[in-house]
Amino acid sequence: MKLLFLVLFALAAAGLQAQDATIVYLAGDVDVRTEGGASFAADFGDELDSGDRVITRRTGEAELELTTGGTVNVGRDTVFIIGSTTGPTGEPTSRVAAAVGSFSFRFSAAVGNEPRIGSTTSVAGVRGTEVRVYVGSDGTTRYEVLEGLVEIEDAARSVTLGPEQAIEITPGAGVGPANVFAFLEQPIDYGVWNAGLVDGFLADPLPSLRGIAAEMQDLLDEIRRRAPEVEALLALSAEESGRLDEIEKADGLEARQEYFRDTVMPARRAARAAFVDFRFVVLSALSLDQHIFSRLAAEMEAWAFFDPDTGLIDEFRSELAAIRSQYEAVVVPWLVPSDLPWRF
Amino acid sequence: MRLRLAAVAAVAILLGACATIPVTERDARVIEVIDRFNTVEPSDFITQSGVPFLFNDQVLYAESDLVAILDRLREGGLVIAPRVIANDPARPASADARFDVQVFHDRLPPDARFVTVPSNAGDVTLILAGEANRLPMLVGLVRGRL
Repeated sequence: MKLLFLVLFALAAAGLQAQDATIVYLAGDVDVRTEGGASFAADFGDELDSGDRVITRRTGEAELELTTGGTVNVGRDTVFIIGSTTGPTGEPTSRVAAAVGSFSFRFSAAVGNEPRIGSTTSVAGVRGTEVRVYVGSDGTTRYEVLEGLVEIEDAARSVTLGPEQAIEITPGAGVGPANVFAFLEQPIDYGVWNAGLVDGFLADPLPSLRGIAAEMQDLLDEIRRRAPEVEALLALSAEESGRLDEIEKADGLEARQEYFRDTVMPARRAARAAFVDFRFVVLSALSLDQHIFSRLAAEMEAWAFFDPDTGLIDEFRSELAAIRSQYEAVVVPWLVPSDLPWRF
Repeated sequence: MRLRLAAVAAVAILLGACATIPVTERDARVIEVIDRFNTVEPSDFITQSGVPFLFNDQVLYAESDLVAILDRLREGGLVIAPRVIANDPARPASADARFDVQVFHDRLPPDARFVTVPSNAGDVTLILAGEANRLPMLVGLVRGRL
């Protein structure tokens, strides 16, 4: 964890953070939690970077302008994550997601470098689009397309939605044309929709838990797969920085500056890009645990509060503990305590 | 005269002591919070509570999640008795607790207390920390004794 602190600090101090979004409108209670773990009340004009999270409370709403083009309206009670990824031709592309709650996205640039949007369990590519995204407390993601096209993908296949089409994707269930339906243009009542999802979960909790656990497993596998590369790039960046004094001592200040420009900065940029992309996956896993697992497990604990020894709750706890023990081993080493919100 | 002075001094000392005892340690204030928990709608009780909130071993981070869980407990008929069995300083989480639970315990302020009270679901532990409306804030509810 100490290493992570140093990495975050060093990369931020190196001035490598690129502004990815700006807060242009606020109402009610809205907090920002930065990639480095700092937390503050949001304000007009705040600049946000990859890895930052915007958290709206029960009365809060925010509007963000993405640097790559597009406007995001973050609804109430939403945890919204800003990330970035590398597009097919190597260009930086925004990647924005709600861990829970809702947001709408409107692409405003004439020529596209459209972001990837979605949730921690689902991702979509957009083309000239206005789209609403809802993420329920059971991890279900609902996309409603108002204009343009949205292509929703999972590991196996993709489905394209046009105007006035919507889809709800249940964790672990995958996407398919059969899930597409027409919708009324008025936004749904998120609270009512979400309560229905939670009631559905309580009616048959184990299949839902297994679906979300499968999504968490995918994130854990991705973190395991990418961690060695990220660690190597971070180590290389640190190693190159560490050689500066030695070079100056041997060949003078000019040689140091040249080495810094030609070797150290590219190494830092590569480390930064890989780390930000990786960190989005880590924060997705964190959010899935914080906002989906914890809520659903609390629902089960409340349901069993008067009779805590029923077989169903035991089975639920056991399956949840199995996936969470992997989470503790794989994700937690990449977290710092300040990644967890705190205020009372 | 001396007697009167002594009485005034005793009252002053008593008042001073009251002012320095955190509300979380005052059983009468704790019972007021219990009364509010039993009678006030969860969406209004939230002003007497705060997130993160520890419910059994789950940490809730969103107020809406907390309201939903309090609603669920209310629907289930949970009633907490207005009687304090024990009021102890908060303790750290066990070493094998998950990361989020450990962070929750680590960040409890110095006035945090574990208050054991009876309920119709058996004894429960209220985690109280800080102050709102001159009463302790409820930041956790755990079945059994912590």
